[in-house]
Amino acid sequence: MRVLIVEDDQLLRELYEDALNAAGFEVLTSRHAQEAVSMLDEYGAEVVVMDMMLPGHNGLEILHEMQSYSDWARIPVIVLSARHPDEFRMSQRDWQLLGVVKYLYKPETKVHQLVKEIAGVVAHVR
Amino acid sequence: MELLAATAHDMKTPLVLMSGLSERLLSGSLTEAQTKQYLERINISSDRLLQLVEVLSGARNRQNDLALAPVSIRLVAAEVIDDLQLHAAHRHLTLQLLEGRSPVVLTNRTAVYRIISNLLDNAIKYSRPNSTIQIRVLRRGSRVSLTVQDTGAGVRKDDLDKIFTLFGQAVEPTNALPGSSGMGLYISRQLADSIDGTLGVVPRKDGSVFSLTLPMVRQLRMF
Repeated sequence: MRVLIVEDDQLLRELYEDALNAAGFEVLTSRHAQEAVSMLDEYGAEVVVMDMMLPGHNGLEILHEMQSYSDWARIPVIVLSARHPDEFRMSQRDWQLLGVVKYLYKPETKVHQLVKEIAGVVAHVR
Repeated sequence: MELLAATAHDMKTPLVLMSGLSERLLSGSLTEAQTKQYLERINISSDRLLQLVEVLSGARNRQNDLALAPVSIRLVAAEVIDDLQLHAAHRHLTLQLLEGRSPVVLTNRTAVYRIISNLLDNAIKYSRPNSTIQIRVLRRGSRVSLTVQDTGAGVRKDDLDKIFTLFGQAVEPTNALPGSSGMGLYISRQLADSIDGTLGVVPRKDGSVFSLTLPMVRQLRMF
């Protein structure tokens, strides 16, 4: 199962990649919006894990773009952000319309929890 | 308050990283090489946290009256260059302070040091390898300017003001230290404002020129 991690911090990106590889996932990583879009275009993914604060474009812009393409609109997204969800003032329904199945607040999410959440989403997709 | 909120936000990443790295270390599932790598990264993250605490300390200090003293901008620049020489060398870059006079201004030395340090750190992030970053100190009438010319891809016209704002990092830097905050230019502009200076950027064909300009309140001894 292929997971795309969209995270601009290099060390965090590598940490998540290591942990997911160890759990048996195939992992793609991207540092910013443009790269994420290119990755989806070239390789696709079964799950996207997205930071919301990225250089150039924020996560919401990528989520909107994903929804505009029928192939990508079906990909479940897990948001993993240091911004608390309350900062966005969006309802659960609003997030769902953007394809977000789970919002994980980084300071409260352990690595093993992230792996477990991804595994849960993947099992649901299957 | 905005700087405080932004710095608090920025502290989350190294803390999350340290938490995640230590969690993986405790799992006992890492190789010896991975263990060493993870411990090095915890070390990098803790250094970054310390830098952010310094930013907060600077913010607190600015709320009190800034201590002013005669400062040789050129000497401060030379000190910053000395401190960042190793960082530049790791990225195959040369820092060159061009010859010139050394005007003295009545200002806050700590703020000037921080600004020059941020400008050089930024130049190192964005310059292409095996090139030279040039630093100049000039007197222009009643003002003193320090300029830093990098060899990066340049700043787009639309981003000229944006890069000095919070979270305004325009593009991915070439040589960023892992975990660098991207707040340097924002903090530098805040600091420049606090000492009646201005911070700007002029795009060039082969890079950018950032400048810090300070008023010479009164002419002091030149050396």
